[in-house]
Amino acid sequence: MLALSRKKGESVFIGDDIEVVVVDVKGDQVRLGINAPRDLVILRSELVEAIRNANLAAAKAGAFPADILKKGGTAR
Amino acid sequence: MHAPTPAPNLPPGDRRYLKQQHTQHPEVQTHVPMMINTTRFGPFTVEDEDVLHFPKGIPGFEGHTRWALAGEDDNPVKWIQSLTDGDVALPVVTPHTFFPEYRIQLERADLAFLKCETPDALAMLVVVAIPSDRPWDASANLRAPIVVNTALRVARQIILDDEDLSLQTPILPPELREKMMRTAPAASPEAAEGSD
Repeated sequence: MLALSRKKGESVFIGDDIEVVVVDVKGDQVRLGINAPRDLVILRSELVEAIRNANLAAAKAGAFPADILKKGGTAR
Repeated sequence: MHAPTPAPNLPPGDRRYLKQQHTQHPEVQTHVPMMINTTRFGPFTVEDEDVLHFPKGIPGFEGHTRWALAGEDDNPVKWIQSLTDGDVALPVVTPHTFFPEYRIQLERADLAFLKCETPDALAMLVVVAIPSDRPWDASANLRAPIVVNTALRVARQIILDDEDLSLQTPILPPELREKMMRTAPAASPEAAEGSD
């Protein structure tokens, strides 16, 4: 992994049209600003990880009673 | 610093060769029914037209690019069965069955990815988690719906930029949840409540 030291207000470019700016640094928290094309998806990594974990958990699913939504039906 | 190596100029013959290699779209499959052994459904025959293509895979199942929709007509919970691994199947529901108010905002890039020109060709599925001992607590991931271009059968799980959508939204309203708990054969409601 490439590691660069940057100060508040400084930035790096990734390719031609993605700029990551260090907006603020407070204690152990860094505030980043990202200038990128609108169609580029930018997500917090925790969210991607949470979606991944949700899918992995869903794959271990049990059965779902078939007729629960039917009027008067009973779950088997 | 070294000067960058100039890219070699391909002779015209080579360029034609490369072009030929790319005339077949990677998502186009041969028209042979595929047989796969699955943990959940046993041997499973898939026709070309039943395959859902996830060019990017699904988070957690990144290499799984081909899936098939499976399930029983009378069960609102369907499954997408991975054709990469017979052991992997994800339960899904159409959101309007349980969440009639559910609407999502797609980005232009999402539509482009799905090669979609008109939203009419789009369908939605959401992945549900069904605890095996408490199916009445099944929940849906409304934060990341699977959007399908039904014409091309290309799909993607899209992570939405909306913090209000929960990854674990209960699918059953309280009265149906109660009913399912009451009629569950395996565990009595008391035992299930006690275990939580």
